[in-house]
Amino acid sequence: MQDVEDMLRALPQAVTPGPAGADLAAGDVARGRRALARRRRRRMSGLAGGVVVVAGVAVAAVSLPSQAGRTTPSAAASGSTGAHAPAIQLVAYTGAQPAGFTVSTVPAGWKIVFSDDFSFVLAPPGTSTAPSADGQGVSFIGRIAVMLQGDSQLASDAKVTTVTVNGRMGQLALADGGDAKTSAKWLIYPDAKGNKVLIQVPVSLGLSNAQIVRFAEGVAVTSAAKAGVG
Amino acid sequence: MKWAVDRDREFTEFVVVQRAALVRVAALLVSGDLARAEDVVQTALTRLYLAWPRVRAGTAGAYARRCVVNAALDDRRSLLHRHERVSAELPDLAAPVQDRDAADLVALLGTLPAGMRAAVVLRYVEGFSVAEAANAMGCSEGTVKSQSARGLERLREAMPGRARNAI
Repeated sequence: MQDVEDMLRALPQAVTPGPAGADLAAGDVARGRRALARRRRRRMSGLAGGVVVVAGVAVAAVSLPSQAGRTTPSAAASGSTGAHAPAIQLVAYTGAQPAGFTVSTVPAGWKIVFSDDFSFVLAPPGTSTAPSADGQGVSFIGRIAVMLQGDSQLASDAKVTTVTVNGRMGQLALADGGDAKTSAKWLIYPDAKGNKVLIQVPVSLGLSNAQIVRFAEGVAVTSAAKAGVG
Repeated sequence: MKWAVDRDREFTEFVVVQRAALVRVAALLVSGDLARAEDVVQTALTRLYLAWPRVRAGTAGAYARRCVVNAALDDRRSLLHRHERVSAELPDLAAPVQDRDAADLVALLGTLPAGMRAAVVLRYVEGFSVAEAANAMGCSEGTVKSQSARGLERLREAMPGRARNAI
């Protein structure tokens, strides 16, 4: 007669269900995608699912300041941006403007890959601009996103750097959540009309705070822009 | 960085291989309630999907089991937060359990307190080491040892004909 321990060890043979079919696995993937989309929406309010491809064309390079909060361009031709960042230059943007905003400069080679009344997204060179196959909308990982602040808030314990954007005080800090691969900085600032703008920049891009400010100073909110909720 | 396509493919491969075992563990942890076990596994796999870019190669199984244990032991879920996400077709848990002794044992496991049950299932059914069980349960190795020993003793008391070294 088996000891209880032996019976416990033999339980898997008696109680293991059959292998997971394709339908079960597909259901788990679908739930994962939905949860991922919900998490992204919580972090980035106001997203929609359309994709608009707009090309950015470099006309002139603008060198970047190296100190946070400065609004005047430096004379440095190399575009030195900080201890850990590759040289990235902002170039004049001459493509079609996004729906709810206007943008005057973009990182060289970057394109607007998504735009609606709530936000627009810039992606680096070589990024596919095809619509998301799962209908979950465009990814923000590794990309720059611009939107009205809406309900998004920096974490209460975030280390905030106060910066000046077009003469108005803004807050720059690491966004809540994310890991080394997906973490991003948020710049939240008011524009001349009182709109609170939020710009998300991936840390992996290596832009300095000054560069992020510089980019923000080239963004304007149009009357078509809407703040997302939830 | 894990692209969406890579994530889905790798995750699907993992699920096809591991899901049945996860359902088994979940069912034993929730006293054989199949609907609740499926809910637990769905929750665990969703958490795993979200964490997939951060999960190191070879550790997805341990991570998934930890999620299953956490979801199964979360009392709040069973009372307040159970969502109607159970699939229309529940996986068979060797249903019904043909082995009468095995069925009795599953029922007896359900009488143990949740933490004690988890320690017994992970140590003696799943064959986890003390360290692995402690990691899955989020507790100390001492707790695993004491809980699994007490749990085993209770099962033996409930099955007097199955005492250790009984003939």
